[in-house]
Amino acid sequence: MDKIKLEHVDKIYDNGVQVIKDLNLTIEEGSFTVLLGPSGCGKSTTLRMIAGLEEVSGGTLTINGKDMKNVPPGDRDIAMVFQNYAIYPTMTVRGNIEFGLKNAKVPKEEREKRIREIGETTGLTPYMDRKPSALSGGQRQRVALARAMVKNPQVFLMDEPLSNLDAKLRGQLRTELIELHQRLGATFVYVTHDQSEATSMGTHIILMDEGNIMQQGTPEDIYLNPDNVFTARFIGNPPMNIFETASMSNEWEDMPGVAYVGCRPHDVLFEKPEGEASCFQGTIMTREMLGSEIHYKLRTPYGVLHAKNYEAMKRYSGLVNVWIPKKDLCFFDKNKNRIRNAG
Amino acid sequence: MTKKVKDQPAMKERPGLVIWNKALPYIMVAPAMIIFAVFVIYPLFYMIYVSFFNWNMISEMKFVGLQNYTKMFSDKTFWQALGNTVIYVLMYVPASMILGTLIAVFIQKSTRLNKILQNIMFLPYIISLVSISFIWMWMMNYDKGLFNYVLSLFGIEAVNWLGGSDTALFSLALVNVWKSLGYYVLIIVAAPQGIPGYLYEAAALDRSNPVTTFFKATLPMLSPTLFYLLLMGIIAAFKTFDSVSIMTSGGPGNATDTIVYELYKQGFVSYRVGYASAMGVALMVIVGGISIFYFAVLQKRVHYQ
Repeated sequence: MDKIKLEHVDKIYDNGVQVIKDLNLTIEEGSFTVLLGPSGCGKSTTLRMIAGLEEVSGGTLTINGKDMKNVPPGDRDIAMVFQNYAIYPTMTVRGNIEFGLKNAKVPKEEREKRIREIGETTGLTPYMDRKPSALSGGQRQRVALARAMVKNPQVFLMDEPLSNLDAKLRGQLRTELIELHQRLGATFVYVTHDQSEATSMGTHIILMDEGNIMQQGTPEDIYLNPDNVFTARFIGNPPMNIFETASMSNEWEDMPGVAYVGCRPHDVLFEKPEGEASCFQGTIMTREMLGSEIHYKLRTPYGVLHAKNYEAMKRYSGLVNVWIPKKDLCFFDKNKNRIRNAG
Repeated sequence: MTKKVKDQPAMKERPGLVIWNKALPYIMVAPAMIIFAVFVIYPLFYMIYVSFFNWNMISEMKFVGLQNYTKMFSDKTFWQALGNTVIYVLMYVPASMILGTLIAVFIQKSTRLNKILQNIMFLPYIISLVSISFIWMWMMNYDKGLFNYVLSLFGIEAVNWLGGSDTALFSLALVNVWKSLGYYVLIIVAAPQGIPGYLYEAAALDRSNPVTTFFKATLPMLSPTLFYLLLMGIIAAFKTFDSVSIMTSGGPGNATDTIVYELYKQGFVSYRVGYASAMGVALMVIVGGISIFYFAVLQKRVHYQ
């Protein structure tokens, strides 16, 4: 079932700048949908329109089939977690969690029961009487989460909630959010610019650029089957190797309609594989040992090539031959859109 | 012949340079500290010193111990002046704070009209209080003043603004509130700009109505500014002199006699400098005590970001 639907949505600011044009997207009930993209792509604006914090300039936005035009944020049965926590600095942890419930006229006994349960779930029980200034970044983010969870909303909106945390805490909270989603079964809409965060957490990714959806699908779809060069280059670390075929004097140059060819770094092999494969030479520039994987950077006649290898004991250097299985090649036209079944 | 680098002893700072570096911070603050010492610290201690003497600025100072203080505590005029001052403070400070806050909240949005209104509101603050006092004195004139003329248009009886013992102090408070309102508005208008916008967004998502948002989110975040304005307002109100001197001269009777005006009368009209100094010390203790109490009790309720 469609939980949230945006149809032909536009967003134009007061100064006339249009950041979103004719956006159509659907968020399924119970999904963990990630709005992913570079800064300024419109993902946070989209999230804020869903929350009711930004007006929709054109088109319709519905939640549970109901048009949200003129529905205030507090009446949309949603909760939001902000990047900078947005917890009330003058209230205690208990006060922060309770504030929304009080405004919603939830009876005192029910409020106390919910706060007690949330305190245990989020590990905030020992900190209930502290003010935010006496909490660490991770604790503050838990307060923001607790404040959202205590409302039992149907939709959780999260605007880069882990950005302000250190790497270790980010990893820890990432896992907790995944578990939370599985436990609650609510719809999560999560905004991030971090593609590894998106692919590790989301069940559905919507990749945006300049207010447009570049591709949407499961993390596997987006990674293995990019629809365009933008998606290919945005997802994956290192990103997909992309070369212009016009500068290549090999079989790719003459393929009809093909302007770009790409391959994932892990598909670049240092030994000849079985089956058809393209081969060319490159000079190893750098080798980065990252534990279970090794990243190589090679200079080739067609440009810089990134390779990912898993043989830690082998050290490639100097001039080497590299093979790329033909089945792993991605072809794109001059508009940088994917050509499937090319060659 | 040059020595090899490894044979040269470590470079030592010249003694003169060390002394200069240590003395430099004190030299830099010296001019301000000298001015502070001459115009604040010295007069303060001299006032305390003189309060133990009888002196008319002409003949020799005569040591009288605590006599000026015992006389002051049994002086009805002193207590009336102190009482008038407290009433004036209780009128001036709440009116300035509440009106200033309400107006500031009303005109804080960044529109062209609001910018114009903010500028207009600030104009009285930059005009001399002496000029303002004369203008208001004219407007409040019982027979020919503008206010009573306007009242007469509505059939309301004329008010003896500055001549009535129950209206004169209120009239002085009105003038001073009017003059300083622009300052309060300007400070309070600027204060919410330091409040992060996401707090209001969070409040909207928490179904908070505008009144609740104001008291739970805006006001606590404004507390450092309000704390400053409240304390400055109290101190300024205790020191009221100009408008009293020009508009009422402490009258009618002693209805508008404030502590500073009484102090002035004793020191510069009656030439009882020692007695006036004792009053000055009493005022200092009262205002100092209020400040200490203020910081001790209210500061913990202030939220600093």
